[in-house]
Amino acid sequence: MSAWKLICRGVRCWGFIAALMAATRPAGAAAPSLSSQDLQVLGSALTFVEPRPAGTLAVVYSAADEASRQDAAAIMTALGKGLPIGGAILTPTLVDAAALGSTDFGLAIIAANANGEAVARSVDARHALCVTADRPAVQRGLCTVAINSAGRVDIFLNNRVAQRAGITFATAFRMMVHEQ
Amino acid sequence: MKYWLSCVALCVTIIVVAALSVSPRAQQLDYGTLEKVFHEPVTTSATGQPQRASEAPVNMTIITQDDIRRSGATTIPDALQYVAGVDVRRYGIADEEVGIRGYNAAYNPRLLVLVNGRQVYSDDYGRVFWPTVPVQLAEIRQIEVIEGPNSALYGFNAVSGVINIITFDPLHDRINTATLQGGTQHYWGGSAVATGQIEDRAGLRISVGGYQAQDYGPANLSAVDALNRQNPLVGAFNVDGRLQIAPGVQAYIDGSMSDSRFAEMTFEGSFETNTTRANSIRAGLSADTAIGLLSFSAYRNGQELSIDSSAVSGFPSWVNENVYIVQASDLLKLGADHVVRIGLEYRNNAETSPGFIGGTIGYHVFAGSLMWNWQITPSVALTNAVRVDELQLRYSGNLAAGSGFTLGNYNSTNFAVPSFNSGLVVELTPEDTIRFMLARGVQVPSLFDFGVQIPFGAVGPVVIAGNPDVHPSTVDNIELDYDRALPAMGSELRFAVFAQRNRDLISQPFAVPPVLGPTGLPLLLTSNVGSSNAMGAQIGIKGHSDSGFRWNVSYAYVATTDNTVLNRGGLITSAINYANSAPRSVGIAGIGYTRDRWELDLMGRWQSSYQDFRASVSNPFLLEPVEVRNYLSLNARAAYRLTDNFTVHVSAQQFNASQLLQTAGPLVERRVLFGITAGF
Repeated sequence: MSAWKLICRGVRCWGFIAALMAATRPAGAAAPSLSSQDLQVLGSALTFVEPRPAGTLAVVYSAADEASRQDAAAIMTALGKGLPIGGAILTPTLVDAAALGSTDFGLAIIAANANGEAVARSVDARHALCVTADRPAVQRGLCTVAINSAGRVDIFLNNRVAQRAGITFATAFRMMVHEQ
Repeated sequence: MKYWLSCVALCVTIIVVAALSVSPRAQQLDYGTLEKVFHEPVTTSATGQPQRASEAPVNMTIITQDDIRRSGATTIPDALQYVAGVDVRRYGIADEEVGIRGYNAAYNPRLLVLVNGRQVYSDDYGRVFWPTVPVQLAEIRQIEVIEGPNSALYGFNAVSGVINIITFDPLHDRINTATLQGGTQHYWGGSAVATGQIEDRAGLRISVGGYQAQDYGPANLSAVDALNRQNPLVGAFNVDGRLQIAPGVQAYIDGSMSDSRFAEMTFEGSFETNTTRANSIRAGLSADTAIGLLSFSAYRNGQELSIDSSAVSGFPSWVNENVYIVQASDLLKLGADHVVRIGLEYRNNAETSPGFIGGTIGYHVFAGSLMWNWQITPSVALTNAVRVDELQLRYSGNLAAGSGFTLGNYNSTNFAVPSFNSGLVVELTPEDTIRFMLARGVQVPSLFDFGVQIPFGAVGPVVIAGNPDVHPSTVDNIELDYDRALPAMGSELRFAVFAQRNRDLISQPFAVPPVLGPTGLPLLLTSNVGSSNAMGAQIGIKGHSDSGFRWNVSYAYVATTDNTVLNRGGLITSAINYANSAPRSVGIAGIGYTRDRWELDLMGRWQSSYQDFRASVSNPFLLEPVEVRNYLSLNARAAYRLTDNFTVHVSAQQFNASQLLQTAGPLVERRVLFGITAGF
């Protein structure tokens, strides 16, 4: 160990090792599209939603897409035991997009490559809130909210989708986000 | 008046009906949760619209609760002194004057100070009795400092800037803390804040606090001033309740009482001791509905002031003042890109003083305002706000003979004054933001300016009179700001330049040269005395590291001109020299470190010279200038957390000098305070 410290005394060497570790990291440990910080932001933001989501949190993925499955698994890891909202905790469960219509849930987090018309219809039918990291999906009306908290926090809200699902956001909150 | 009352009544009806019948929305402005969402403070002080601090179309600095605690401040001005562009004059432990962008003075009338939107400045002179502000430092969430006029939202007196003190929300924030501290100057003070909550439905916060001390020594004072200064004794009580009636519908009520006695520097350049009892009561309702965020509030501020000074011995030197304010607004988001705020306000104030006013002076103000925020593109926003205030003056009592005015002159005085604010905010990149702002602010003459009535012989061979014909003063401001986030350094950089023109500056009658009145008696009359221009720049950087370090460095420059008729021809009657009433250059720096149980901070403030005034010993109607030379003041604070509930601290103010000449008042002394804080 001390020999390694001696050899790697320079910052450059440590940087190289970090890069090597990142490159050789197992695919299953990839960073989720919604980070732990994004999910914390989401938990706080949900206090401005009426009705407040309750019940199961569906982490939706596309079974046919390997990246989507991996992203959903990473989001599940980031969620841990659940998403706290006020005094309650939403328990997460993995849901195949194809099975979303037959699943009972109060909040849907859509993993990478899983946004689509069918998922949007299922979320609407449940009057649930849809959250994703995919901002274009929000712009296209496929999901309600996109969150990005890397650096400056940016929240994108499609209020038409929210209205479609019978969800309202506090006026104060709507004035502080990017509305589509 | 009937029309305006009808408008207010209509607004109240709309709010109540909306609250009861329209499907309510989710919870409203919860500062704490919104700050967690956006990772930065939020504010409504810029436009009335909830905004992230970085997106507000004004030059705003937010002092957080952490900043206040780490500064070692015992008063609100103590905490303000580390904001670039803010000037704090320390005439005593309790007597502090705050100015923004120059023009500071005793009884500074150019600053609007609010607590949660409720005015806490006094209409008598437009001044702020800081010790009577009924808020304990521990219950402040943030102090929002807006530099530059903001009359289009707040109306009169938001001239050089606005300070809005935001306390914790009793519904969402549970603050239970008590502090006891003491030290040099025989200072002893304490405060306690307690919060009770019933789930998410109701919250009540109660605070109480005060202090006493032996004020700075009289070495630099005249014998009269030394005699007129009594030691400060300050106490305040505040209660703040909030009720969640339904999702999106909140009612609130707050009330306060404060009692203070402290020596105060007057605009005559001499000291007097004021005993002030102030109280307030406010109730409000807000409802987030399909037709917008409807708000209604009504409050009353009361103040009883008794002046103890050899200059007014044998004179009925008490002043009572009441102000009633009713406000209603609708904040509405139209589509994805437009926010509109419509506001109505009614104000009714009155000041009664047999000695100074000869009766009662007051005015009604009816105001309407409109704000429009347009998000032109995701990175460009334009905000325009306009407000019109109509003032109707009224007076009853005995006018000073020889002023030339009649009751008819007073009671027929009314005027309407428009003000506006425009701000363009452009996010050039996620790290770079520029703001361009234009504004016109309005300063209304104070009640004293309008109504002082001191007959010939009462205080000297002269008639001293207010003036119902005096014009409001206007301030035009143009400003360009640039903010740069430096995430790699955990820092933010701000650069600002501004230019300002002040027209129709108002001078209280003691400061103007005497004229011969219509009855042949010498007359001192409230007057518009000229204009002044200001220009300045600020640059500052603040940041922190994950390792626990924090730092800030800033520099502010402001240059002003004096195009008034005051203090000409060797006759010095005004305690303000508009060209040199605040330091031109101020440098501020601070460094702090938090690790484990320790919290250590070191702060410094250097300012260049400026000119203050004090009463001439030979002729109390004349003043003599006091050149306050540049000085450096260093403060330090160390705190150690004994347990999860108890923290001890020691703070040293101005530890680099045992005494400093900071004003024309007494030399400001080094202070060392020890304290313990319990938090539950």
